[in-house]
Amino acid sequence: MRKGLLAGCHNLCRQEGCLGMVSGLLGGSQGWIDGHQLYIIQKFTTTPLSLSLGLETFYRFRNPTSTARSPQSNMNPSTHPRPNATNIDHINSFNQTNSNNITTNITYVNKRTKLLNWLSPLQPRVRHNDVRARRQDGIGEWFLRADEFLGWRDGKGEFGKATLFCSGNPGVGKTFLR
Amino acid sequence: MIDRLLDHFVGEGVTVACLYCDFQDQERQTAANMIGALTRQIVNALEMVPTEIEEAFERAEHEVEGRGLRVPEIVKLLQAALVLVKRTFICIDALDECPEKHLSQLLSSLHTVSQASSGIQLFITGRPHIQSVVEKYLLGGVQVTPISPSNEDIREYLEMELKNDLDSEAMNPTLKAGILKRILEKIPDAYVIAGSI
Repeated sequence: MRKGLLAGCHNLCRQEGCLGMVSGLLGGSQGWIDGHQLYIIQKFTTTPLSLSLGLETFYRFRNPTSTARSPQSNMNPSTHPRPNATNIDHINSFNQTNSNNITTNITYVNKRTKLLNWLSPLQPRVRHNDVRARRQDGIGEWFLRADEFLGWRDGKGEFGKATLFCSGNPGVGKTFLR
Repeated sequence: MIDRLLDHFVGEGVTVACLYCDFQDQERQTAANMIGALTRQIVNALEMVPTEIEEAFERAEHEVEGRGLRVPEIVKLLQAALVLVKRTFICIDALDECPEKHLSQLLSSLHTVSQASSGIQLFITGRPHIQSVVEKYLLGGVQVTPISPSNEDIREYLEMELKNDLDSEAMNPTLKAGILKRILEKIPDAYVIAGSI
C-alpha cells in the first residue's frame, strides 16, 4: 500500500459517509482501530490514520466492551507511531487473533452508512465545507460579537430567545456568517 | 458561525446541525428529507445509534423497496436522537428558498421537536418577507436581527479580491485606495437598490 493512497483516505475518512472507503482499505490488509486512530499494518510499517469520530464510534457500538481488546494497554501508539522490530511481532500476533473482530466492525460501518443515507440523501455538511472554503476570515465578525448573537447562544438576557432570525436581502452575506 | 459554536462549546455535549435551502435543489429538499438531514447529523454525532432509529431502519429494510420516510415518522426519529443530546443548535440558511409546500411542514415540525425536548435553539437566515412565516410557526420566542455587511466587511472583501487580481501590474496603491474609497462611499445607495429589486 502506497503512502499516497493512505493520505487520500485520510481526507476521505473525514467526510461523513466515506467510511466505506476504510472498509475496502482494511479488506486487503491488517489493522486495528484505537481511539481516533486507524492503524494499518503493511509489511513492517504501521501508519496511523487520524479519523474523525466515525470509526471509533462504530467500534464501540458493535463491541461495547472492546476497549479491553484494544492494543493500547500494551502499546501506546502516540509514543510509538512506528514500532521497532521487537514490537512488530507483537502487532502481527495481535492482528492474527483479532482480525475477525475487525472484519465484523467494518461490516457494521457499512450498515451505519446505509442507515444515515436512509435518514436523508441530503448532506448539508458538504455544502458547509464549501462555504467554509470560500469564506474570508474576519467577515461578519461584528455579528459574532453582537449582543443578539451572544444572548441567543447563551440563552440569557433580553435576546435569549429560542430562535434567532437573521433577515437580509440576497447578497448581504448571511450565508457567510457561518 | 457553526464552527464558532462548535469551538465555543467543545467538550460540552453540544451538537450543531445545519441545513442550506436552495432553489436549485427543490426536488430533493422535501420536508422529510430536510428533517432527515438534521436527524442524520445528530445521529452521526452520537456514540450509539438510538435503538428506536435502528429498529425503524431494520423494519424499513424488510419493506417494499422505495418507500421513504414520511414526515411524522422522521420527526419521531429526530426526537429520539435529540433526547440524547444535552443541547442542539439547528441552523437553517436561506429559509426563503425552501419550497412553499414544504416550509410549513418543516417549521411546524421544528416547533414540535423544540416543544418536546429542551435545549434546542434555532438560527435561521432568510429574506425579510419570510419573517412573518417564521413567527407564525415558531410562536413568539423569535429574535429578529437585520443583517447588512459592515463597511469593514466590505473593505476586507474588496482587499481580498484586489489581491487576487490577475493583472497585478495594472494595480498600484493609489488606484487601490481610490477604488476602496469610491465603493465604500457608494454603499448606502447600493443597498437601497438591492433592497428594491
